[in-house]
Amino acid sequence: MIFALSATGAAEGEGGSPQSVEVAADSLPCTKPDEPTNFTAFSAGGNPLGIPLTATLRRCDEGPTDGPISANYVSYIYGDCKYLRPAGVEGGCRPPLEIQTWPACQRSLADYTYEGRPYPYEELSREDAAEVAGFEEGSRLEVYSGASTIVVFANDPAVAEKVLPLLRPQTADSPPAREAAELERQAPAELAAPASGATEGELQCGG
Amino acid sequence: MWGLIHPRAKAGFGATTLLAVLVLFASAQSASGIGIGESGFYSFGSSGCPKTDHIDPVGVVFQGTHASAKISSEQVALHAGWDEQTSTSTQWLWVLTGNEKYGCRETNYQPVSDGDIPPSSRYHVRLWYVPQEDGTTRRTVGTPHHEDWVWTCPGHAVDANGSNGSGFDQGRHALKNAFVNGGHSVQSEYWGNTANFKQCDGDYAGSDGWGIRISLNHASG
Repeated sequence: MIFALSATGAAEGEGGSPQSVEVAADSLPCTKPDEPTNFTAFSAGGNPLGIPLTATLRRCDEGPTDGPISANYVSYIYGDCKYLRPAGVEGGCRPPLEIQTWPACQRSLADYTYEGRPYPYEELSREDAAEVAGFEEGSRLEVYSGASTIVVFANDPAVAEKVLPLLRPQTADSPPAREAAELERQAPAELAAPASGATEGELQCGG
Repeated sequence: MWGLIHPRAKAGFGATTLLAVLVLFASAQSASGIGIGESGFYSFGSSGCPKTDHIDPVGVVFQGTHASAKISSEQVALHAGWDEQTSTSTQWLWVLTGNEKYGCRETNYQPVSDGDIPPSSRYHVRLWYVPQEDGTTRRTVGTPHHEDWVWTCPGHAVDANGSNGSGFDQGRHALKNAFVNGGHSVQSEYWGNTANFKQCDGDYAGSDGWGIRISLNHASG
Protein backbone atom coordinates (compact mmCIF):
# COMPACT_ATOMS: atom_id res chain seq x y z
CA MET A 1 0.00 0.00 0.00
CA ILE A 2 1.65 3.24 -1.11
CA PHE A 3 0.41 6.74 -0.66
CA ALA A 4 1.96 9.95 -1.78
CA LEU A 5 1.55 13.42 -0.38
CA SER A 6 2.64 16.80 -1.52
CA ALA A 7 1.84 20.36 -0.61
CA THR A 8 -1.80 21.34 -1.21
CA GLY A 9 -2.34 18.23 -3.25
CA ALA A 10 -1.25 19.67 -6.56
CA ALA A 11 2.41 20.56 -6.19
CA GLU A 12 4.95 18.78 -8.30
CA GLY A 13 7.57 16.46 -6.86
CA GLU A 14 11.20 16.44 -7.88
CA GLY A 15 10.39 14.18 -10.75
CA GLY A 16 7.86 16.69 -12.01
CA SER A 17 4.83 14.49 -11.55
CA PRO A 18 1.92 15.72 -9.47
CA GLN A 19 1.26 13.84 -6.25
CA SER A 20 -2.11 13.09 -4.69
CA VAL A 21 -3.24 13.74 -1.17
CA GLU A 22 -3.73 10.67 0.99
CA VAL A 23 -7.19 9.23 1.40
CA ALA A 24 -9.16 9.01 4.63
CA ALA A 25 -8.82 5.96 6.81
CA ASP A 26 -11.31 3.16 7.12
CA SER A 27 -11.14 2.40 10.81
CA LEU A 28 -13.14 1.21 13.77
CA PRO A 29 -14.19 3.81 16.33
CA CYS A 30 -11.66 4.07 19.15
CA THR A 31 -12.57 2.48 22.46
CA LYS A 32 -11.07 3.63 25.75
CA PRO A 33 -8.60 1.51 27.73
CA ASP A 34 -11.25 0.65 30.30
CA GLU A 35 -13.86 -0.30 27.70
CA PRO A 36 -14.24 -3.60 25.85
CA THR A 37 -12.68 -3.46 22.41
CA ASN A 38 -14.81 -3.65 19.28
CA PHE A 39 -12.55 -6.37 17.89
CA THR A 40 -11.26 -9.61 19.39
CA ALA A 41 -7.93 -9.11 21.14
CA PHE A 42 -5.60 -11.99 21.98
CA SER A 43 -3.04 -12.68 24.67
CA ALA A 44 -0.71 -15.54 25.51
CA GLY A 45 -2.01 -15.81 29.05
CA GLY A 46 -0.54 -14.25 32.15
CA ASN A 47 2.89 -15.88 32.25
CA PRO A 48 3.73 -17.50 28.90
CA LEU A 49 6.97 -19.49 28.89
CA GLY A 50 7.66 -18.07 32.33
CA ILE A 51 7.67 -14.49 31.06
CA PRO A 52 5.28 -12.45 33.21
CA LEU A 53 2.82 -9.84 31.98
CA THR A 54 4.33 -6.43 32.77
CA ALA A 55 2.14 -3.94 30.90
CA THR A 56 -1.08 -3.59 28.93
CA LEU A 57 -1.26 -0.88 26.28
CA ARG A 58 -4.36 0.31 24.44
CA ARG A 59 -3.41 2.47 21.48
CA CYS A 60 -5.95 3.99 19.13
CA ASP A 61 -4.75 7.00 17.15
CA GLU A 62 -7.15 9.73 16.15
CA GLY A 63 -4.61 12.22 14.88
CA PRO A 64 -2.93 12.50 11.48
CA THR A 65 -1.43 9.44 9.88
CA ASP A 66 0.75 8.96 6.82
CA GLY A 67 -1.94 6.95 5.09
CA PRO A 68 -5.21 5.11 5.56
CA ILE A 69 -3.94 2.84 8.34
CA SER A 70 -4.10 4.34 11.81
CA ALA A 71 -2.75 2.49 14.83
CA ASN A 72 -5.47 0.63 16.71
CA TYR A 73 -4.37 -2.19 18.92
CA VAL A 74 -4.27 -3.84 22.31
CA SER A 75 -0.77 -4.78 23.40
CA TYR A 76 0.22 -7.22 26.10
CA ILE A 77 3.86 -6.76 27.05
CA TYR A 78 5.70 -9.58 28.78
CA GLY A 79 8.94 -9.28 30.70
CA ASP A 80 11.19 -6.32 31.21
CA CYS A 81 14.23 -5.17 29.32
CA LYS A 82 17.71 -4.09 30.30
CA TYR A 83 19.98 -1.56 28.75
CA LEU A 84 22.97 -3.34 27.26
CA ARG A 85 24.43 -0.26 25.73
CA PRO A 86 27.43 1.73 26.92
CA ALA A 87 26.91 4.56 29.37
CA GLY A 88 25.78 7.73 27.66
CA VAL A 89 23.96 5.99 24.81
CA GLU A 90 20.33 7.10 24.94
CA GLY A 91 17.25 5.24 23.87
CA GLY A 92 14.59 2.82 25.00
CA CYS A 93 14.73 -0.92 25.17
CA ARG A 94 12.51 -3.60 23.70
CA PRO A 95 10.75 -6.05 26.01
CA PRO A 96 11.37 -9.74 25.28
CA LEU A 97 7.79 -10.44 24.18
CA GLU A 98 4.90 -8.28 23.00
CA ILE A 99 1.58 -9.37 21.52
CA GLN A 100 -0.40 -6.74 19.64
CA THR A 101 -3.88 -7.37 18.24
CA TRP A 102 -5.23 -5.10 15.50
CA PRO A 103 -8.55 -5.21 13.68
CA ALA A 104 -7.82 -7.03 10.42
CA CYS A 105 -9.57 -4.24 8.56
CA GLN A 106 -6.82 -1.89 9.79
CA ARG A 107 -3.79 -4.13 9.39
CA SER A 108 -3.34 -7.08 7.07
CA LEU A 109 -0.72 -8.90 5.06
CA ALA A 110 -1.78 -7.01 1.96
CA ASP A 111 -0.88 -3.63 3.45
CA TYR A 112 2.89 -4.04 3.36
CA THR A 113 5.17 -2.82 0.65
CA TYR A 114 8.43 -1.02 0.18
CA GLU A 115 9.64 1.04 -2.72
CA GLY A 116 6.69 -0.09 -4.77
CA ARG A 117 7.83 -3.69 -4.46
CA PRO A 118 6.55 -6.64 -2.46
CA TYR A 119 7.57 -6.92 1.12
CA PRO A 120 9.80 -9.66 2.50
CA TYR A 121 8.04 -12.24 4.60
CA GLU A 122 7.91 -15.98 5.06
CA GLU A 123 4.78 -18.05 4.91
CA LEU A 124 4.68 -20.41 7.88
CA SER A 125 2.56 -23.39 8.83
CA ARG A 126 -0.95 -22.61 9.94
CA GLU A 127 -1.68 -22.37 13.64
CA ASP A 128 -4.96 -24.26 13.83
CA ALA A 129 -6.92 -22.68 10.96
CA ALA A 130 -5.20 -19.31 11.23
CA GLU A 131 -2.64 -18.22 8.66
CA VAL A 132 0.82 -17.22 9.88
CA ALA A 133 3.49 -15.06 8.29
CA GLY A 134 7.01 -14.38 9.53
CA PHE A 135 8.90 -11.11 9.32
CA GLU A 136 12.15 -9.72 10.67
CA GLU A 137 13.90 -13.09 10.59
CA GLY A 138 11.24 -14.65 12.74
CA SER A 139 11.24 -12.04 15.49
CA ARG A 140 7.85 -10.81 14.25
CA LEU A 141 5.12 -13.33 13.52
CA GLU A 142 1.70 -12.31 12.32
CA VAL A 143 -1.32 -14.52 12.86
CA TYR A 144 -4.41 -13.85 10.78
CA SER A 145 -7.44 -15.23 12.59
CA GLY A 146 -11.06 -14.21 12.13
CA ALA A 147 -11.23 -10.43 11.91
CA SER A 148 -8.06 -9.95 13.96
CA THR A 149 -4.39 -9.56 13.09
CA ILE A 150 -2.21 -10.77 15.95
CA VAL A 151 1.36 -9.48 15.82
CA VAL A 152 3.88 -11.29 18.02
CA PHE A 153 7.18 -9.47 18.59
CA ALA A 154 9.97 -11.36 20.34
CA ASN A 155 13.68 -10.73 20.54
CA ASP A 156 14.17 -14.50 20.25
CA PRO A 157 12.40 -16.04 17.24
CA ALA A 158 12.07 -19.31 19.16
CA VAL A 159 9.98 -17.51 21.78
CA ALA A 160 7.70 -16.09 19.09
CA GLU A 161 7.15 -19.55 17.66
CA LYS A 162 6.57 -21.23 21.02
CA VAL A 163 3.99 -18.67 22.08
CA LEU A 164 1.65 -19.30 19.14
CA PRO A 165 -0.10 -22.34 20.68
CA LEU A 166 -0.69 -20.30 23.83
CA LEU A 167 -2.75 -17.60 22.11
CA ARG A 168 -6.24 -17.09 23.47
CA PRO A 169 -8.93 -14.46 22.96
CA GLN A 170 -9.58 -11.77 25.49
CA THR A 171 -12.68 -12.44 27.56
CA ALA A 172 -15.66 -11.14 25.58
CA ASP A 173 -17.25 -7.89 26.76
CA SER A 174 -14.32 -7.14 29.07
CA PRO A 175 -11.79 -4.35 28.73
CA PRO A 176 -8.16 -5.31 28.04
CA ALA A 177 -6.84 -7.18 31.08
CA ARG A 178 -4.45 -5.41 33.43
CA GLU A 179 -3.55 -8.36 35.60
CA ALA A 180 -1.97 -11.66 34.68
CA ALA A 181 -4.66 -13.54 36.59
CA GLU A 182 -7.34 -12.15 34.30
CA LEU A 183 -5.53 -13.53 31.28
CA GLU A 184 -5.00 -16.89 32.94
CA ARG A 185 -8.73 -17.40 33.29
CA GLN A 186 -9.03 -17.75 29.53
CA ALA A 187 -7.65 -21.04 28.21
CA PRO A 188 -5.76 -21.29 24.91
CA ALA A 189 -8.26 -21.61 22.11
CA GLU A 190 -8.42 -22.92 18.57
CA LEU A 191 -7.61 -20.11 16.19
CA ALA A 192 -10.16 -19.56 13.47
CA ALA A 193 -9.32 -19.13 9.81
CA PRO A 194 -9.01 -15.53 8.66
CA ALA A 195 -12.26 -13.83 7.76
CA SER A 196 -13.02 -13.65 4.08
CA GLY A 197 -10.85 -10.98 2.47
CA ALA A 198 -8.87 -10.32 5.67
CA THR A 199 -5.43 -11.26 4.38
CA GLU A 200 -6.12 -9.67 1.01
CA GLY A 201 -6.80 -6.29 2.60
CA GLU A 202 -10.38 -6.37 1.44
CA LEU A 203 -12.07 -6.49 4.83
CA GLN A 204 -13.92 -3.27 5.56
CA CYS A 205 -14.23 -1.77 9.02
CA GLY A 206 -17.60 -0.44 8.05
CA GLY A 207 -16.89 2.94 9.59
CA MET B 1 14.71 -18.69 4.59
CA TRP B 2 13.67 -15.15 3.78
CA GLY B 3 12.57 -13.77 0.49
CA LEU B 4 10.09 -11.70 -1.35
CA ILE B 5 6.63 -13.04 -1.99
CA HIS B 6 3.94 -10.73 -3.18
CA PRO B 7 1.03 -10.90 -0.75
CA ARG B 8 -1.50 -11.10 -3.56
CA ALA B 9 0.48 -13.71 -5.47
CA LYS B 10 0.90 -16.28 -2.76
CA ALA B 11 0.04 -19.82 -3.70
CA GLY B 12 -1.51 -20.90 -0.43
CA PHE B 13 0.00 -22.12 2.79
CA GLY B 14 0.02 -25.77 1.84
CA ALA B 15 2.21 -25.42 -1.22
CA THR B 16 5.49 -25.27 0.66
CA THR B 17 7.64 -26.78 -2.05
CA LEU B 18 6.45 -24.35 -4.68
CA LEU B 19 6.87 -21.50 -2.26
CA ALA B 20 10.41 -22.51 -1.44
CA VAL B 21 11.28 -22.36 -5.13
CA LEU B 22 9.60 -18.99 -5.45
CA VAL B 23 11.46 -17.67 -2.43
CA LEU B 24 14.81 -18.83 -3.76
CA PHE B 25 14.12 -17.26 -7.13
CA ALA B 26 12.92 -14.02 -5.63
CA SER B 27 15.88 -13.80 -3.27
CA ALA B 28 18.26 -13.95 -6.17
CA GLN B 29 16.47 -11.15 -7.95
CA SER B 30 16.37 -8.38 -5.46
CA ALA B 31 17.44 -7.07 -2.11
CA SER B 32 15.57 -9.36 0.20
CA GLY B 33 16.37 -10.10 3.78
CA ILE B 34 15.94 -8.00 6.80
CA GLY B 35 13.72 -5.08 7.54
CA ILE B 36 12.69 -2.71 4.83
CA GLY B 37 15.21 -4.11 2.34
CA GLU B 38 17.99 -1.55 2.45
CA SER B 39 18.17 -1.65 6.22
CA GLY B 40 16.76 -3.32 9.29
CA PHE B 41 13.54 -2.13 10.87
CA TYR B 42 15.14 -0.91 14.09
CA SER B 43 18.38 0.66 15.23
CA PHE B 44 20.57 -0.85 17.93
CA GLY B 45 22.15 0.54 21.06
CA SER B 46 25.46 -1.25 20.76
CA SER B 47 27.92 -2.28 18.09
CA GLY B 48 27.36 -5.68 16.55
CA CYS B 49 23.61 -5.07 16.44
CA PRO B 50 22.57 -7.74 18.97
CA LYS B 51 18.91 -8.72 18.63
CA THR B 52 18.15 -7.93 22.24
CA ASP B 53 19.20 -4.30 21.91
CA HIS B 54 16.75 -2.68 19.52
CA ILE B 55 16.15 1.02 20.24
CA ASP B 56 14.30 3.04 17.59
CA PRO B 57 12.20 2.18 14.51
CA VAL B 58 13.35 3.26 11.07
CA GLY B 59 10.88 5.83 9.72
CA VAL B 60 12.46 7.55 6.74
CA VAL B 61 14.45 6.75 3.61
CA PHE B 62 16.07 9.52 1.59
CA GLN B 63 16.70 8.32 -1.91
CA GLY B 64 17.87 9.69 -5.21
CA THR B 65 21.02 10.78 -6.94
CA HIS B 66 21.91 13.11 -4.07
CA ALA B 67 20.82 11.02 -1.10
CA SER B 68 24.18 10.71 0.59
CA ALA B 69 24.14 10.92 4.38
CA LYS B 70 25.83 14.32 4.29
CA ILE B 71 23.43 15.87 1.79
CA SER B 72 20.45 14.25 3.53
CA SER B 73 21.57 15.85 6.78
CA GLU B 74 22.05 19.19 5.04
CA GLN B 75 18.58 18.94 3.51
CA VAL B 76 17.07 18.21 6.92
CA ALA B 77 18.78 21.35 8.19
CA LEU B 78 17.52 23.35 5.22
CA HIS B 79 13.90 22.25 5.30
CA ALA B 80 13.26 21.30 8.93
CA GLY B 81 15.85 23.51 10.63
CA TRP B 82 17.43 20.55 12.45
CA ASP B 83 21.21 20.97 12.58
CA GLU B 84 23.94 18.37 12.86
CA GLN B 85 24.79 17.56 16.46
CA THR B 86 28.06 15.78 17.16
CA SER B 87 27.72 15.35 20.91
CA THR B 88 24.54 13.24 20.83
CA SER B 89 24.90 9.52 21.46
CA THR B 90 25.40 7.16 18.57
CA GLN B 91 23.49 4.03 17.52
CA TRP B 92 23.94 1.21 14.99
CA LEU B 93 21.85 -0.26 12.17
CA TRP B 94 21.99 -3.15 9.71
CA VAL B 95 22.39 -1.66 6.25
CA LEU B 96 23.05 -3.13 2.82
CA THR B 97 26.78 -2.80 2.26
CA GLY B 98 27.01 -4.39 -1.19
CA ASN B 99 26.29 -7.62 -3.04
CA GLU B 100 23.10 -8.00 -1.01
CA LYS B 101 25.13 -8.31 2.20
CA TYR B 102 24.26 -6.46 5.36
CA GLY B 103 26.65 -4.83 7.79
CA CYS B 104 26.13 -3.30 11.23
CA ARG B 105 27.05 0.35 10.81
CA GLU B 106 27.34 3.30 13.18
CA THR B 107 25.28 6.49 12.75
CA ASN B 108 26.75 8.87 10.16
CA TYR B 109 24.89 12.09 10.97
CA GLN B 110 22.22 13.14 13.42
CA PRO B 111 20.44 16.45 12.95
CA VAL B 112 18.50 17.77 15.95
CA SER B 113 16.13 20.68 16.36
CA ASP B 114 17.77 21.75 19.60
CA GLY B 115 21.09 20.99 21.20
CA ASP B 116 21.97 19.16 24.39
CA ILE B 117 22.88 22.31 26.30
CA PRO B 118 20.63 23.37 27.87
CA PRO B 119 18.74 20.06 27.78
CA SER B 120 15.39 20.44 26.06
CA SER B 121 12.67 18.71 24.14
CA ARG B 122 13.56 18.34 20.49
CA TYR B 123 13.19 16.59 17.17
CA HIS B 124 16.03 14.25 16.29
CA VAL B 125 16.91 11.87 13.48
CA ARG B 126 19.91 9.57 13.23
CA LEU B 127 21.02 8.90 9.68
CA TRP B 128 22.84 5.98 8.10
CA TYR B 129 24.14 5.81 4.56
CA VAL B 130 23.33 2.62 2.66
CA PRO B 131 26.56 1.72 0.82
CA GLN B 132 24.86 -0.54 -1.73
CA GLU B 133 23.74 1.79 -4.47
CA ASP B 134 21.10 1.01 -7.07
CA GLY B 135 22.51 2.45 -10.28
CA THR B 136 22.67 6.18 -9.61
CA THR B 137 20.19 5.95 -6.74
CA ARG B 138 21.68 6.46 -3.32
CA ARG B 139 19.88 5.89 -0.04
CA THR B 140 20.15 7.15 3.50
CA VAL B 141 17.83 5.82 6.18
CA GLY B 142 16.87 7.42 9.47
CA THR B 143 15.01 7.07 12.76
CA PRO B 144 13.10 10.36 13.25
CA HIS B 145 11.50 11.06 16.60
CA HIS B 146 10.49 13.74 19.07
CA GLU B 147 11.85 13.38 22.57
CA ASP B 148 11.60 15.14 25.89
CA TRP B 149 14.39 15.73 28.35
CA VAL B 150 13.70 13.79 31.53
CA TRP B 151 15.78 14.84 34.52
CA THR B 152 15.18 11.63 36.43
CA CYS B 153 16.78 9.52 33.70
CA PRO B 154 18.71 11.78 33.08
CA GLY B 155 18.39 11.91 29.35
CA HIS B 156 15.93 12.08 26.47
CA ALA B 157 12.82 9.90 26.32
CA VAL B 158 10.76 9.54 23.15
CA ASP B 159 7.21 10.82 23.63
CA ALA B 160 4.89 8.03 24.73
CA ASN B 161 2.05 6.71 22.58
CA GLY B 162 -0.94 9.03 22.59
CA SER B 163 -4.00 9.80 20.53
CA ASN B 164 -1.79 11.82 18.15
CA GLY B 165 0.77 9.07 17.87
CA SER B 166 4.11 8.57 19.56
CA GLY B 167 7.26 10.66 19.37
CA PHE B 168 8.38 8.37 16.53
CA ASP B 169 5.28 9.31 14.53
CA GLN B 170 5.61 13.00 15.41
CA GLY B 171 9.22 13.08 14.23
CA ARG B 172 8.31 11.43 10.95
CA HIS B 173 5.36 13.78 10.44
CA ALA B 174 7.61 16.78 11.05
CA LEU B 175 10.11 15.62 8.43
CA LYS B 176 7.37 14.79 5.97
CA ASN B 177 5.71 18.17 6.31
CA ALA B 178 9.03 20.02 6.03
CA PHE B 179 10.07 18.24 2.85
CA VAL B 180 6.62 18.40 1.25
CA ASN B 181 6.58 22.14 1.90
CA GLY B 182 10.07 22.27 0.43
CA GLY B 183 8.78 20.82 -2.82
CA HIS B 184 10.16 17.29 -2.48
CA SER B 185 8.22 14.21 -3.45
CA VAL B 186 7.38 12.18 -0.35
CA GLN B 187 5.92 8.71 -0.55
CA SER B 188 4.41 6.82 2.36
CA GLU B 189 4.60 3.06 2.79
CA TYR B 190 3.29 0.77 5.47
CA TRP B 191 6.10 -1.31 7.03
CA GLY B 192 4.43 -2.45 10.24
CA ASN B 193 7.45 -1.99 12.51
CA THR B 194 5.21 -1.23 15.47
CA ALA B 195 7.09 -2.85 18.36
CA ASN B 196 6.97 -0.79 21.53
CA PHE B 197 10.05 0.42 23.36
CA LYS B 198 10.23 1.14 27.06
CA GLN B 199 11.66 4.59 27.60
CA CYS B 200 13.85 5.69 30.47
CA ASP B 201 10.85 7.33 32.15
CA GLY B 202 8.95 4.02 32.14
CA ASP B 203 6.54 4.94 29.34
CA TYR B 204 6.21 3.02 26.09
CA ALA B 205 6.62 4.43 22.61
CA GLY B 206 6.30 2.74 19.24
CA SER B 207 5.84 3.67 15.60
CA ASP B 208 2.42 3.39 13.99
CA GLY B 209 4.19 1.37 11.29
CA TRP B 210 4.38 3.94 8.53
CA GLY B 211 7.57 4.91 6.74
CA ILE B 212 8.30 7.67 4.27
CA ARG B 213 10.57 7.92 1.25
CA ILE B 214 11.85 11.37 0.41
CA SER B 215 13.28 12.05 -3.03
CA LEU B 216 16.64 13.85 -3.12
CA ASN B 217 17.62 14.39 -6.70
CA HIS B 218 19.37 17.71 -6.34
CA ALA B 219 21.76 19.13 -3.79
CA SER B 220 19.99 22.32 -2.80
CA GLY B 221 16.49 23.70 -2.30
